[in-house]
Amino acid sequence: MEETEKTLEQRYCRWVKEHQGVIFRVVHASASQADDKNDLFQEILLQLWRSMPSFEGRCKETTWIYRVALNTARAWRRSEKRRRERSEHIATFASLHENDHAQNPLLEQLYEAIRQMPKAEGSILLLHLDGLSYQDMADVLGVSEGCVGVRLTRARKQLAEKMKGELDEV
Amino acid sequence: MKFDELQKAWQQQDVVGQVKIEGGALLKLIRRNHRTLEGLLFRRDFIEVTVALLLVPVWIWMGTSMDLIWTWYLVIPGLLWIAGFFVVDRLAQRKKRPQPGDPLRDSVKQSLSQIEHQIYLLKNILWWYLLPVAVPLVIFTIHQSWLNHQTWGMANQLIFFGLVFWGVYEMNQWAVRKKLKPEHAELLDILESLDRSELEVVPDPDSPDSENKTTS
Repeated sequence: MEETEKTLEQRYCRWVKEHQGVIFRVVHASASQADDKNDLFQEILLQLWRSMPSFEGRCKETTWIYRVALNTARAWRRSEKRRRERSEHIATFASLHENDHAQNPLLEQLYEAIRQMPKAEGSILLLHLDGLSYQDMADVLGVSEGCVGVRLTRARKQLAEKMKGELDEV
Repeated sequence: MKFDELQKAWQQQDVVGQVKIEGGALLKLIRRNHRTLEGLLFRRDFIEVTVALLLVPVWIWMGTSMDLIWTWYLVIPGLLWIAGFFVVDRLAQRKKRPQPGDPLRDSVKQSLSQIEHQIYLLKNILWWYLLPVAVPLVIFTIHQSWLNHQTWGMANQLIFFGLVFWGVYEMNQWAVRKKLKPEHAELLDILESLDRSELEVVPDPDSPDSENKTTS
C-alpha cells in the first residue's frame, strides 16, 4: 500500500533526527566555506525528502541516507545558480554552527584531507570512519566488497600521507 | 596517532550541538518544494515546446499580413519538427534521470549518460535545430530575391542569417567545451576510479592490498 504523505513526513522527520550526523559529516567532508556548508546541508535535506517515495526498504535506512547525501554532494557543484536562487528567496530552515571543529583541530585537518582526495576515495574513507561494514560500503557505492577493500587501502594510504606527523602509517 | 584513535574521535563528534533544524519550517519547505520542483520541471519543458509552437501562428500571420511568397511557409515544418523533437527527447530523458537514492556508481553512470546525451545534442545542434529552420529561410531568401532581381539584397540577407546561425552554433559549442566537457571528465574520473578498483580485485596473495585489508 502506498504511504500517505503524513506517514512519509513522519518517517522523514525521524530520519533527519536520527541521521543528522551522517548528513553533517558528508557536508563537512564536501564543503569548506560556511555558506557552502549550509547550502549543501539544505540541499541534502531536500533531496532526502525527494527520495522518500522511492525508498522501498530493500536496503538499510542508513545506506539510503548515505547514498542520497553522497550523490547530492557529488552533484552539488553543478547547481550553483539554483543554490543562489534558493538561498536568496527561502528562509533558512536548517543550518550548521560555525564553531565547528574549533575544539578539535585534528578533525578539521581530517576533513580537509578528505576534501582534497578524489571523490571515490573521499567517500569510502568517510564511510569507513563512520564504521560501516564492507557490505554496507559496497551497497552505498554500488561496487563489490573486494573493490571496497582495494579502494579503502588506497584511501588510507593517501590519508596517512596528507596527515603526515599526525597519523601513523597504515 | 593510530587510525583507530582517529576513527574514535571522528565518531565521537558532537553533531547534535552543531546542527540547527527548524522542524516546522523544514516541513513547510519540503511541502512547497515538492510542488515547486515538479512545477519547475514541467514549466521548463512546457516553455521550450510552446515557444516553438507559438512561432507557427506568428509565422503564418507574418506571411499573410505581408503577403509573402509560398516558400516563407517552408519554415513551419521545421518549427514543428523542433517542438516534436523537444517533446520526444524530454520524455525519453525524464525516465533516465538519476535518483538521489541510487548507489553512487549507478548515479554517476546515469549522470554521465545524461551529460553525454547533452553533449551529443549540442554537438549536433546543426542538424536537428539549426538546419531545419536555416534551409527553408535560405530557400525563401533566394526565391524572393530571384523574383525581385535583388542579388545584393539576397547576399546581405544570407550573410546576416549565416552570422546569426553561426553565433548560435558557436555559443552551444562553447557550452560543450566550457561546461559539459569538464563535468563529463569529472564524472568519468569517478566512474573509472571505481571500475578500476573492481578490476584490481583479482585475488593475488602477493598484493600488499590484500594484506592491508581492514575491517570496521
